[in-house]
Amino acid sequence: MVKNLEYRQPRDDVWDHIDLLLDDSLRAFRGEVRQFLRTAVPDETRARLDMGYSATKSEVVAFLKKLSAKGWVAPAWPVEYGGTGWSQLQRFVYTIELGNNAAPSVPPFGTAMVGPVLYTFGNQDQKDLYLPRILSGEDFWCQGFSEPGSGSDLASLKTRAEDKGDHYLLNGQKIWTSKAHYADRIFLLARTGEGARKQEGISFFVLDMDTPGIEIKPIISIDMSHSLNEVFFTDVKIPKTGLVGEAGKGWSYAKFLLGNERTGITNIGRCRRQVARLKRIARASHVGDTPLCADQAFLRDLARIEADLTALEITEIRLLSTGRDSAFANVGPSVLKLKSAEIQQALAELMVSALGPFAAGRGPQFVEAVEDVSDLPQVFFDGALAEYLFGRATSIYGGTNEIQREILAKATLDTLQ
Amino acid sequence: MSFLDHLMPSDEAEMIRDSATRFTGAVSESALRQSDGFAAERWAGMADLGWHGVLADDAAGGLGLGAAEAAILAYAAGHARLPEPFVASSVTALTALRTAGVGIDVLAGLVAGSRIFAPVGFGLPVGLATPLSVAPDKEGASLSGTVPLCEVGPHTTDFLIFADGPEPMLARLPSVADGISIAPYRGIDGRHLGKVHLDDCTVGDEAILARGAAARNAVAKAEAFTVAALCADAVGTIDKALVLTRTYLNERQQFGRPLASFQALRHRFADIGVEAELARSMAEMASFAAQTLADPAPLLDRARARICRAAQTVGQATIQLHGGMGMTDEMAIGHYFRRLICLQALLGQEAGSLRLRSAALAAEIDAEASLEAAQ
Ligand SMILES: Cc1cc2nc3c(=O)[nH]c(=O)nc-3n(C[C@H](O)[C@H](O)[C@H](O)COP(=O)(O)OP(=O)(O)OC[C@H]3O[C@@H](n4cnc5c(N)ncnc54)[C@H](O)[C@@H]3O)c2cc1C
Repeated sequence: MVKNLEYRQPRDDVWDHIDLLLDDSLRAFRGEVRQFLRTAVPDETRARLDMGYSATKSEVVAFLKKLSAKGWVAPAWPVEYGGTGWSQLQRFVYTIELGNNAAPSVPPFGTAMVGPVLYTFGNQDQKDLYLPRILSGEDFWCQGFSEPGSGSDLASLKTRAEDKGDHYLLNGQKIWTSKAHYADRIFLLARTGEGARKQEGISFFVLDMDTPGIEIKPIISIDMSHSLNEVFFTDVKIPKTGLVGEAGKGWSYAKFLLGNERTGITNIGRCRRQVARLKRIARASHVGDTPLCADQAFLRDLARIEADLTALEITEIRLLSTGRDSAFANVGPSVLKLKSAEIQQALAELMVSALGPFAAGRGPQFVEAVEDVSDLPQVFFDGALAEYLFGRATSIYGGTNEIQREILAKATLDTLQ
Repeated sequence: MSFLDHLMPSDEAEMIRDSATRFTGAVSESALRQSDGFAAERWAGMADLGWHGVLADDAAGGLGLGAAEAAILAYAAGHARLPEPFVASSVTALTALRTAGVGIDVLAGLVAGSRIFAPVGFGLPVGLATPLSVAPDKEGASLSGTVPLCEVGPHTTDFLIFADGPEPMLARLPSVADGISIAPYRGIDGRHLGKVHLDDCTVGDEAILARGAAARNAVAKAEAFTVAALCADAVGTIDKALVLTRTYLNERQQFGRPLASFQALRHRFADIGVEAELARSMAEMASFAAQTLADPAPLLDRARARICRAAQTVGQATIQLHGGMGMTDEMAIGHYFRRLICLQALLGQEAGSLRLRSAALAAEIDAEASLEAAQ
């Protein structure tokens, strides 16, 4: 068995095209982030995450504590609400480093989704109550948008919140609610009225998950893990303080939220780490007698993905740098969403194919059984398949690839005559 | 200059873009078809606007600008599918001449449009070693070998030749010289090409512009600028193919509706729009890398690979979306498709670019392994 294949942190002395963007102060900033992550993420966690597993709640909580002490939980927020005041480029570098260093992902539900809605549309009490608890890592949030009958056509949702004077009475069902079983609070869309269009009459609420009448049922996903849930609401009382912004304006807040969601999911840092992992796998794995690192088909696939990833990175940078073409600002997020899903899926696919026969098994028994017959250290097994399977969702959540194509076609085929 | 500055065009760059757009906007479809691969008045028009001197120093009558501005012009040439050898002469040859440090007299003719250079044995197609060899000769040197593809035509006034050997050299020869024979042919997109054969072609010392490392360096720089310009040319061509297709999808009706209302076609159009944006990103990166990096090859190989893929995908889809009309020579779209095919060949094809990147990846994997073994 080949040694020295475990995860290594990115090295400061290896030049990379991201360096094209960096001046001395940004380089120093990146050094500071790397230094911080070296100690903030325990080796064990890092190793597990790099294998392809997702972080446990306790790993996430521990990491959030460290981030919180630094004030780095939600860099993009305005400074008055606890953001860092970093430039876009600093945020770009920071996000890449999180993924590249195999840090647990910061849950997006608080920082990237409900947080910005609250500081943009919420009242003072809501800001004071919720925002600090997101930044401290005390509150975990979940997103109650999708329903059994309303996925891509989200505005057709049926969950209803009836105005009872001193509270709203909530009845209905949500589905695909990620991490609801971990969550302290939920933000959700419910119908408070009817309008001529289905987008009208929807309101945006925040609610504690321990409110009576909420029931959570797990959904086991194809990677055989539990992150998805169904959430049922039966005569749940939402206090009036749970309404965000104006009643009936929920759809516009949701669109604002989904726009933010779409830009934060390119996962470039993680993709870079996966490329590095593939290179390590290629040192140890064989196709027949040929080491994978001499296999032209494998190298060609890797080279193609690498070129795609570079193009994605530059595209994200173009979107960050204002100025050039404002037409691109409209379509850019959908371009990134589509392409990043494709690249993440291609990487996971190549990873699984690189494992050859060892991609077929799963779990500790499997690892134990094949440990002594594989060229590869066990750290590469099992997790790759988990990553591959769950990764199929990257083209489904946050607006499916087909929905992104609809957005693009509207912007580029219909309007610009 | 940082990459972000590069993404913000200067006022000068915007002026160049505007003037190029105005110039190419006046080129009619019929004029293009009649010009048979080269129009002297168009070449002179480009000279008037400073195209040929975009990369040349002031002293030679040039604009003294860089790869980014050359890319703007190459984009315009692609968008209008100009068949003239703008990249070959005004980017590839000029960069080699400039890097080799030739005198102003040589450059001035090129900048003014009166001399048109054909690079031989370097630059186009990208990524190939020169097939020409050099042997010492009592009068200077003697060159031999065959280059299957050069951008050479009746308009060519000079050859700029790169030959390898114990001492590689860059030499300039007139288009008619002893020991050189040309077999002319046409590119699939109508441009003038040819096979150039050198048979013990003697070059005197006065014709040798650079030797050894200086010659290699000139050729490497020229190749980097060529990649950047060809990438921009391809993006211009892709953009125009998308414009034509958008118009067609909105105009053409089937089943009582415009084609643009059918989802299968809308999604295909969205996908090629994504390809175009990725290609644009890579072209931006390529011109920055060519201009600023000492060793831009790892990035330029990725850019070539990605842009060739985009060219292929967009080209094929735009023909498909035109239906039978896409198959006709009469429609412009097929001409853009053919330019994209030609540009892929000049860029060394996706496969060629990936082959180089694959080899580099294999070397990186090896290097990491030995580094870690040493620790
Ligand atoms: C892992 C994961 C986590 C998620 N987490 C959350 C969460 O935390 N909270 C939450 O609210 N939701 C969550 N979602 C739900 C997600 O937003 C929806 O799955 C998504 O919006 C698609 O809806 P759907 O599943 O109902 O698919 P459908 O809308 O039924 O789509 C099925 C297929 O049809 C295609 N399709 C649909 N409409 C069209 C159309 N008009 N034209 C062309 N094709 C179309 C889709 O692209 C898809 O391929 C999650 C989903 C996944 C997979």
